[in-house]
Amino acid sequence: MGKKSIIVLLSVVPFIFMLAAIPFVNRVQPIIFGLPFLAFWLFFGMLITPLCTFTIYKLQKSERSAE
Amino acid sequence: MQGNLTALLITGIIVLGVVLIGFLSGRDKTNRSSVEEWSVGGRRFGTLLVWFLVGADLYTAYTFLGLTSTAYTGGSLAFFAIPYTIIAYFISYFFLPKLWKFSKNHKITTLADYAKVRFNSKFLSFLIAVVGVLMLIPYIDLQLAGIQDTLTVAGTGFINVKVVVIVSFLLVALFTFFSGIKGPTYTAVIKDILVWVIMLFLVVNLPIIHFGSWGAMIDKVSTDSPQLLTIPTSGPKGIPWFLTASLVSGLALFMWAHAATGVFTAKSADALRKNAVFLPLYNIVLILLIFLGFVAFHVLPEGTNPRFALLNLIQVSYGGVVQGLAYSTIA
Repeated sequence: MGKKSIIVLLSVVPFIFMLAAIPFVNRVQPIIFGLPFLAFWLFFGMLITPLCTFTIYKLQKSERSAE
Repeated sequence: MQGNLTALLITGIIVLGVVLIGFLSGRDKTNRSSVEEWSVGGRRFGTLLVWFLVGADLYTAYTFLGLTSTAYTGGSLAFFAIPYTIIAYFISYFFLPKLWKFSKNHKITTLADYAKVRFNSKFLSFLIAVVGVLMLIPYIDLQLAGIQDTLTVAGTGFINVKVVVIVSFLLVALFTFFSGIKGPTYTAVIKDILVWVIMLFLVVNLPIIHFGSWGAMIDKVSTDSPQLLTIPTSGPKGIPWFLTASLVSGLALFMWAHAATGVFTAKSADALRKNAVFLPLYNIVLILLIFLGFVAFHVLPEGTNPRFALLNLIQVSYGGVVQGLAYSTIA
């Protein structure tokens, strides 16, 4: 898989987490780390998103310096 | 409800201190040497400063009062602020660096100018300027309402709230005029630190005061009022509302003039990329704040004005010093 497709894939992840998945995680149980499931999911997505952005950043950086 | 004099005094002192720093940061004459220097700090701000500035621009009095009151009345609908801003920050990674590069090459400091030069369209530029100003009016109104609410709860019986609001607005306008972007930036740093410290403190402490522990609070909320913890599946504001509101607001966030200003201050496209990585972390505060709205729902007597949910909660729980610190943060 090329860098381009990884980047495209990673750019879709936050949208899936934050929008597409919402109807399926809209529940109270199970409570994880003291957070009801919906809040936990949003919290989780909040940590995943920077990871995606950061990975894209790193991938593009190596591309830029290789040019 | 009667106000609290200690809280009022502390709020006043901190706010005045911050205003003073706003003025001091503008002592240097170079700040007023050119429009570029004044409005965007000569484009020298690194990742951290841009983060503070954008953060302080977006998370304001209204955020704290509005989110807790939304959570107080509408439960998990308040969570919409999380996906919305995360989407906004994420997409900003892709377009802000481009916007920044073009603006730097053409010495552009506002979105309207950007449209004029980039798309060679005076009409589009005009439209953006008008929409920007029009949208800022309700926004500023919200901010002032937030400050006014804070003062109303703290200062009832002591001061004339309206006069103080007007004076404080003039002071901020003055130090911005005087120092350019640097005034608001330094105050933004102080404000952000205050926000983090106070909000984390409240979030740890309030559940302990009222429920014994965080876990006990969640138990109570999930057994007594589970409807607060999920998005309603029926009614006018259900999941479709949640999703579309998040997406549309997310796409539009950086159209706001005050959000865009922070962008133009960046020293490099790279600083903006890193900024996009770290901005979502601001939302930690937001999630926790929403829980304070749930606390308010259980603690405050029925019929409390939702606008005052957080403020009353703080007043009921602490009074005095903590109240002052928290209020100055909000204001």
